[in-house]
Amino acid sequence: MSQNISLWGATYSDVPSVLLPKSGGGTASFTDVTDTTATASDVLSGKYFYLATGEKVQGTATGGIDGDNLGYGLSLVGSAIVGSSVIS
Amino acid sequence: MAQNVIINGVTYNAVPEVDIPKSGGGTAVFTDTSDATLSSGGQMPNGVTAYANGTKITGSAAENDSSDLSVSGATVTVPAGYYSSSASASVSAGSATAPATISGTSASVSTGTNTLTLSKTVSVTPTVSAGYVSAGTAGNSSVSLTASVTTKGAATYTPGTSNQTISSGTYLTGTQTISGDANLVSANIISGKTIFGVAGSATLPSITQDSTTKVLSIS
Repeated sequence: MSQNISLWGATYSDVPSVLLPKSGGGTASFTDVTDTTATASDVLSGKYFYLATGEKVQGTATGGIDGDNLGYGLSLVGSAIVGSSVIS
Repeated sequence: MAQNVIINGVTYNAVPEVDIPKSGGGTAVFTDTSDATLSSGGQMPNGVTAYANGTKITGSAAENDSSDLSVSGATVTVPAGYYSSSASASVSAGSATAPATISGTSASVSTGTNTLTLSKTVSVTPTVSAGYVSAGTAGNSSVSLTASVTTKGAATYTPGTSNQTISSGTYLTGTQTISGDANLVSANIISGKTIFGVAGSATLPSITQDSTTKVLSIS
């Protein structure tokens, strides 16, 4: 997303991120993440992202098929993101 | 994460976010997302958004559920995508049915010393439909194999003027005795006759009767 902000009396519109010089060289980018809609269960397990509140969280969606739950058929337990799979 | 940044020559260490006043009031928060590991839209459901390393990522994983799983025979196909809740697909149950009839070779009987063996070779072909069949048996109570044989118990046979027979295929359950006679010797059989293979050698004296005198002559 982006924000309209004021710095030292000047207004800057539609600012998506702020770049600041790093003390060790290079540039640090700070981003407006308030329009994030993902929640932990949406994101693949093990992948980190930032909630709209700026909180860093880890995804919980399983990344595959739980073999323990495979019988004579197939079960995906909980939210999951899978690649195309064929089980026979 | 956090960054060490310099503003107007002043260093600020471990800065996780930058708060700047909004032009309309309030505060805008800008977050350092450089350590986010989310890397592609395929890692989130379609349309969901999140930031990683300063980049807004939109989810692209198709949202699927159980209805998207397909079953063909024993194969379950799981299309790639995001499943928001448990999904399942089952392979249909199969069945096995015993045949109504049994075909096979004719029964045969063979005999040996003190033994009688009845053997019959049969073939049974159950009808099995595709699918998973749980452990068990496919039985058919109507299928049965019955063998019968004529039996004859112990008996004694005295030779006579006619043949005496035991039918073929008869299973003898007792001793069959053909009587013998010590008198069955050639000397006891008149010459010219044969009894049970024994040719007679006995001769009768010659007897004649005079027709006039009625006198018998034996020589």
